[in-house]
Amino acid sequence: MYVWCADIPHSMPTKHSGNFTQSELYEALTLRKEWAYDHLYRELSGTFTHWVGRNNGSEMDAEDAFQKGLLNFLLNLETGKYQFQENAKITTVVFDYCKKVWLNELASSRLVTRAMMPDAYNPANDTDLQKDLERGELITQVRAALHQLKGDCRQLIEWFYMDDFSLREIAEKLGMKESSTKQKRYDCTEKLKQIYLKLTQQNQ
Amino acid sequence: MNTAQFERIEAYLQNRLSETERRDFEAEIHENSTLSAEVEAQRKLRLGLRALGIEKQLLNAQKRTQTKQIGQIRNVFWGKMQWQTWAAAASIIVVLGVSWWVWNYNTAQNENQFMALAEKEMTDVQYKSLPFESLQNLSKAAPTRNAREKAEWYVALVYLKKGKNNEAKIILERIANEPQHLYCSQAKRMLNKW
Repeated sequence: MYVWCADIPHSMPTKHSGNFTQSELYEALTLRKEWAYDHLYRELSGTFTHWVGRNNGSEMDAEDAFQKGLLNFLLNLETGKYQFQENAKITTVVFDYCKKVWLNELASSRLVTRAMMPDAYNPANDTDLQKDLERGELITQVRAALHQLKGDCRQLIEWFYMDDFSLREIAEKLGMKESSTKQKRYDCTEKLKQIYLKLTQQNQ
Repeated sequence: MNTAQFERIEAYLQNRLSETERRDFEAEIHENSTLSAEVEAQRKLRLGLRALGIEKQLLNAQKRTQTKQIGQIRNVFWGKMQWQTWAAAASIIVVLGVSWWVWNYNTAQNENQFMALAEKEMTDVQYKSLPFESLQNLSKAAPTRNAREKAEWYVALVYLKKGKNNEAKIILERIANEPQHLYCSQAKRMLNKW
């Protein structure tokens, strides 16, 4: 038996309901609703694994490409690069994102394996895809920088930037005043930025 | 960089500045390379952290979906198990029921068959009309062998007519095992019906 949460209007779809429009799914993805993420996984994971399997890839390849494709799509959605399209089914769009990631992997290993490309698509000419994939390097560096951050600072950064907690919520969790938390957030972000810049300089 | 500058950059990156503020800020960025580098660093840092946040949520979604799928598989498996268990139990009940019914049916059929055969075999009206106890006595104490054997045969037939097949069978087997018995072949024929 399901109960309605007080903060969710009854008309809003939940992870338990399958009845929602593409626009509602889009909205939920921008708000990082669990049910929307789950929906994409449920609908696409198996199909995509099957597709990769038919195109010279393993289950692990499929999982990796699926994560990358989904991340590319969701980042584009959150940054406004991907805008809602009335006639486009979101799962189809996401599948295409994931598919391109795998085709790019295949293309980059084609010279070694001489594997046949499944279609005429050339990922190297897809500038959008290449830009999306370049973000992978940035993500790696930010992850490395975050790992160098210690204690409360790292926790605060994760809560604020990754988990979307408000400063008030973080203040409560840390047992601090909101104003002190605000200052701490600034200090910690500065520390993280310094580490990040140092890492990027080392890698250049 | 101070807190105010940090918040201004943040407001710009989050599109929270008014149109005029944004235009002014972009002009400033254009003029000031240090500010430009700072904005770029902040933009990349936020994008990276955003991506890490999404990655975290995606992993959670993956775990949730897999757990759910495993749960569903378990449910299906358990459902199957339950279905199979119930099916097996039902099958046993059905088999037992059918067997019982068949056995009963066959028994009833056999009984009816044997009754009919016994009736058919009772061609001697005199023996047929004798009380059962008299037949039993005759089978043991009749003065002639023929009379004793005929009485014995009729005892078996009466048992059959009463549906006491086991008792009838014992006598019929005894008769069939005596080649010299007057009703040996009839008893064998009757036993073949079992």
